[in-house]
Amino acid sequence: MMAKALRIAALSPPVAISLMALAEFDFSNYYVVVGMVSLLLISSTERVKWAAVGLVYIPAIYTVGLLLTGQAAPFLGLAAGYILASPLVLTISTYSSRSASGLLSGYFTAYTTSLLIYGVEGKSAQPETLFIHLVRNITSFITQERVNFVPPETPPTNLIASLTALATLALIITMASRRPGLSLKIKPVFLNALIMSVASLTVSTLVAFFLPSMVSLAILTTIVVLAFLTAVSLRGKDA
Amino acid sequence: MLTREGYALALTSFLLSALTSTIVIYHPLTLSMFAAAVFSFMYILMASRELRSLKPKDFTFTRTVSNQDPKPGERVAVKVVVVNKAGRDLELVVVDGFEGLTLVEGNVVVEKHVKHGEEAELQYVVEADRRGVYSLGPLVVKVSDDFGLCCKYITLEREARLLVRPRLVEKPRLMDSVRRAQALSISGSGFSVKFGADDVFREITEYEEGQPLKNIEWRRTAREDGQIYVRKYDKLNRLRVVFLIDCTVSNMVGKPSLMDTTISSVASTALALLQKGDAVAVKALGAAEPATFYAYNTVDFEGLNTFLTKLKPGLGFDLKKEVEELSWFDAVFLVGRLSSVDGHELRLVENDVRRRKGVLFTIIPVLSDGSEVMRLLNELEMLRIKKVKKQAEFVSVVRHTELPQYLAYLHRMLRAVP
Repeated sequence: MMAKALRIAALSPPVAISLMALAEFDFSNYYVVVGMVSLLLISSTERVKWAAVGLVYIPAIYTVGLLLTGQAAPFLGLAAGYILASPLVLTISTYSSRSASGLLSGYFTAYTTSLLIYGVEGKSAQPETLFIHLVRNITSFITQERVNFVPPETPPTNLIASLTALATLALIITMASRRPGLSLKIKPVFLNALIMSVASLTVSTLVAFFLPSMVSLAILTTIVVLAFLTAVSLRGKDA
Repeated sequence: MLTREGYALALTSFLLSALTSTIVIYHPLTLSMFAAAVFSFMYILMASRELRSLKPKDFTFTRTVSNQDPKPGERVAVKVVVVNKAGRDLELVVVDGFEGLTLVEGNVVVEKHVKHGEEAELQYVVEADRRGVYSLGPLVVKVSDDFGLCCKYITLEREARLLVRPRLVEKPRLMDSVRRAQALSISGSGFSVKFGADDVFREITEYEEGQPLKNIEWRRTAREDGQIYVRKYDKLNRLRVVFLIDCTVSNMVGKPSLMDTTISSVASTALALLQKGDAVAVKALGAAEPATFYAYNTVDFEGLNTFLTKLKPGLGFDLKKEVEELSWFDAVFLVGRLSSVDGHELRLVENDVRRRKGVLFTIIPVLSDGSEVMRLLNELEMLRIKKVKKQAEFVSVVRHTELPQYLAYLHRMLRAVP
């Protein structure tokens, strides 16, 4: 139970950002809801999954048929629903991830996708224009008009930063207790590493607050040094 | 060292941290990834440091083998027990290895959370389908941290040798087919020993199957009700028998191979000879490590058997030179396919043996006709042997299944020659 609660807490930021994005979206096109529900169901339990496959294919074929007859709105609504549901689907799959690396990469992907949709969707809450802005955002990054992949429109930082801080703590604990059947063990090694990471987070937050332009450089340097130290310490041969 | 999961986590956290501080910049996410990366690296560093303090002396182990003297096809049950003496709980994976053997039952890997003083047990059964030197081990313990991110391998034992000795034929009986088909194939006329001439009475014992009827002690037998007694004699003359085994790779055909069958037969016959008081020498012709082993009594048989067990096939040999190097013999058994020897060379060797007052038996074992391919191969082999026999008519051809009986037959016949 505790492990489940920790996992949910760890994945709360992408969910919160997605819900904030959805709150401002125009759901007058019901195909958006259909798209979202079918995609969410497909990543649900095994029993519901096969029913959801039908829920994905039937509307998809139907809307393609309508598109061919000149009605583009249902097709666009369905596709928009898929896109809007993608951070939540990624979150669900991350929740059931068994490895620490899978948990970390899933968390990152879900977080980034929700930020992307929030930033794009902020400009237009209509399914028809969601695509255009999404593609524009990606092409502008590829053509190097922008350096940052995250759109300029971001959720309120105060709220998300607090939530992310708590989620990070939960994420770290979840990473360490990922083995099924094994309860969380607070051993000196784990505790020391946890304290070190919390301390580094505190220092980095202060750097980000007072010297925001130095954050990236400081983080990169620290990570490279840590990776080097790890590689050096592990080079010894076994007995 | 890192486990696969440890590598994946270190790499993922490094890349994500680099990504979120360069091209996917959102400060809460960036800091979050940074904290996760710091935790990952710090944990790996500290856990590996803790694991490094473990030494082989932190474990005790025993490996029990059920069959100390296995024969080809016999099963060997192995039980390995590793006890944690590290003074703390450990996540252990015990791995035992084996080389050349076949795993029949069980598992050579066990994963267990072991408290101090507790043990991890491993049980498995292996077998070897041919004689040879095999190995059990190395016995390795993999100790990992609680979360399986880093581990340390500790080798508790390098390798333990397992000798699978040739299967001996107990009391080989003379098969009718052998008796009927094989003519006396003795080459040479000089006998240096007067066989059985100088028997000295030793004791009277109960009769055992295979003992000569002429030795029955009739007086004692008549006194006892239903029990037959025989006289036993010590032979003052000792027969010196040399086995020359063709150990070239051409003898590796068949299953079991001709070489293995030959070795088993030679071992059985050598034991019978030693028990009768004869001296035996075995010379491996063309083996990977050519050598000669001399056995003078039954105590030496253990060494002879080990010598035979370790024989590995090689490339070729010079038969004439090998025979010239022999220091003594009364009878020489040359056994194997002899694919690298022609009839002329055999004839020269035969002359050499005769000149040195010995007897030469040349035996070529052939495989039984199992399949169509085997039948064709046998036909080719017989053509080759026929060509050899044109120059060396004393060569005997025996089915490999009948080789032990045939060698026993030759041995008895040798003893019976006046």
